[in-house]
Amino acid sequence: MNKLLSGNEAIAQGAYKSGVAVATGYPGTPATEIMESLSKFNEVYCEWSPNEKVALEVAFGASFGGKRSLAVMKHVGLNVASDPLMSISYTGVNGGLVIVTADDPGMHSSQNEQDNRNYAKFAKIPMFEPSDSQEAKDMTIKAFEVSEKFDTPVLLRTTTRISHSKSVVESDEKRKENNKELKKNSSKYVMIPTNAIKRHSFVEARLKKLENLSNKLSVIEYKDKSVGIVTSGVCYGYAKDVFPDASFLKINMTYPLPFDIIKSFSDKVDKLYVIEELDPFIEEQLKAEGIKLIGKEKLSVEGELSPDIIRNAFLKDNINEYSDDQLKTPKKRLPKMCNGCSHIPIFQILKKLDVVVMGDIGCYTLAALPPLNSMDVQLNMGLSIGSMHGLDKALGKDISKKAVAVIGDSTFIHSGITSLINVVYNKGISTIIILDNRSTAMTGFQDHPSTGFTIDGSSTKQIDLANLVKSIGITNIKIVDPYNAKETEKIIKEELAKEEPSVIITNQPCLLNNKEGTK
Amino acid sequence: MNTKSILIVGLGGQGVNKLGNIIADILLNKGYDTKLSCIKGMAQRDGEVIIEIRYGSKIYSSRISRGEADYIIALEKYEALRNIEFLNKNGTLLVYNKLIPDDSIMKETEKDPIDQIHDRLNLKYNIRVVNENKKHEKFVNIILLREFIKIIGIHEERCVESMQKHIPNNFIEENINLLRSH
Repeated sequence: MNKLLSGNEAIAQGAYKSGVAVATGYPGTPATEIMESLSKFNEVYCEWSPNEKVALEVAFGASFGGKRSLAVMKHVGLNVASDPLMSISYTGVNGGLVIVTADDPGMHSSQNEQDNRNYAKFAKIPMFEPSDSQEAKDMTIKAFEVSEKFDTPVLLRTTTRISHSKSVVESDEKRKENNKELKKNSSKYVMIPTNAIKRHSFVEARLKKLENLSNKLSVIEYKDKSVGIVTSGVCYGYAKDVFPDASFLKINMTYPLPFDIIKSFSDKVDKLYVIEELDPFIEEQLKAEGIKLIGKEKLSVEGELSPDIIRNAFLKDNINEYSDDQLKTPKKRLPKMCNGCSHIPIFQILKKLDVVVMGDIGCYTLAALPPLNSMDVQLNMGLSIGSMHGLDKALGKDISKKAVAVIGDSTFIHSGITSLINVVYNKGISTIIILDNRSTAMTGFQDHPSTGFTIDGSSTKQIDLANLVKSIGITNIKIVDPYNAKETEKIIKEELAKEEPSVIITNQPCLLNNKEGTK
Repeated sequence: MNTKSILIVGLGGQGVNKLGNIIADILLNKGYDTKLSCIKGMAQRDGEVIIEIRYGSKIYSSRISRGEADYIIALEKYEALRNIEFLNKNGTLLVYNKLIPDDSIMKETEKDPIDQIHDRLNLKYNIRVVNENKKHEKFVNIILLREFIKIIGIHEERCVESMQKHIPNNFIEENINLLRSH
């Protein structure tokens, strides 16, 4: 039966059909719905891991045990998981292991727009790039096969417009279990230098074989040969809309590139265009092979592409007849926290106290924008506490009385705990506010280790943040009700004044996701 | 069939995504190749939401170009103004006559966005304004769906089938009743 599925739903379906036994991830736009869709299948063990590194390590363990596993993350999540990724490239797999990286060109909901195709080259592992939901499903299935056949982890890269777009998918959910067994093999799986040196040779030989496969998996559509277009992923659809009569080479495996087929295609067309979003990933490799092409001289390395942008770049042609004045788009609405959000009073207080706010990633990051304008730094998950400590050590006691780290509950679990250990161990005096709304709210209210629930909604041990912080060695721990602004302000002032580390934890759950039935 | 396109714009919490999914499902069931793209801003509530739907015999991309959309459905009128350049000259704008104000976008003294649309483009667009319905404010997506299926010529029962797939059981009856009320 044909259904409209998002790219994310289609990946979940492909993984299910492939017999995936263990799926892990950390919520992050645009990847989140893959895990949410997979968790509906009883046969698949799914978990929200505390962060992406743990997620990939869990998936690796399952693969080592002979089962197929999937690790799901947004592009920047792969940075966190890159340590195990680089070595799993060397060890290879037992059961198929597929890693989804959901990139966000245009930064709809991200701190950068890094192009994770570079990770495939960096880690020397294959990467698939679907151009719609049907391909997202088919390539997920193919990725598991390739993973086992070539003894490699496989990256499946989507972008926001693939993950969050829906298109027709032939929807059958027949599952095929794989039957591999755990096999001890320390020379393959223990990456001490003597083993790793041999495995590196294996990796290089594997890349050669994968290049042959890449040639076979590419699709050529010859039409008018005056223009030939090399493209992949979401750009394929855009380019087909703009150049319906051109010849196309659609690359399905973006790494390693199918050089043989690209060379023969480029010989047969008069002009070769490479249409790709973000980095000149294909372009640079083709140019290194001496292939003449037109690419980034026409297209920006910044932001998303669209049919409009491609048309303007290559054809200097608009399909609309509006004047520039008419195209002056009115201002875009700035995102802001929901009315009544418990984060708001905290940032009103911090603004009033005129302190430096070392921020972190979550709904509360919107405090950086008007009307609150009360966040000074935010880069990556967990930065707030580490960078606050650095500020403290660089500028001394006085700054610690006028600066605070602010981090959400899920982000604290993700990567704030080790930084807090560092504060205690290295005798810091930072004040840290944990905004505990018992949810990974920004990505759609996913559970995490301190909510007391797992991905399937079942209850589990709830990490008590106050006790956790206490066990690290923090003695100044205050629980505050942010809606009691007067008391909260008093406590923040008191803790800032102390020449010891302090942790203030807010206690109001997200109003949109209140499982506890309080306010 | 030539490709047709529908742009749906509104704010988080208004049911924009649901409306898009209901319409896309109807089009799929009518036998069209259909693609839908959804972009949500960072805010949970009152952040911009944009749905692009393209349908026809063979669709490669869900992205609508400026001046291409055959229909724009706007659940809020400032968002209609912001996206009007996507409408093609023979297209139809269906807009809910409600402004959700925000300091970051416009001052109260500014002209009504619907008047600005008329001024800016100086064209006789087909603009259908749906009056604000305070009683059913929570169902603005269904109010617009009811009007849209009349414009595009979709039978009410086809619409109900699709709604049943996308609206949870405890709300479905109220939604269907509203669709059927005229």
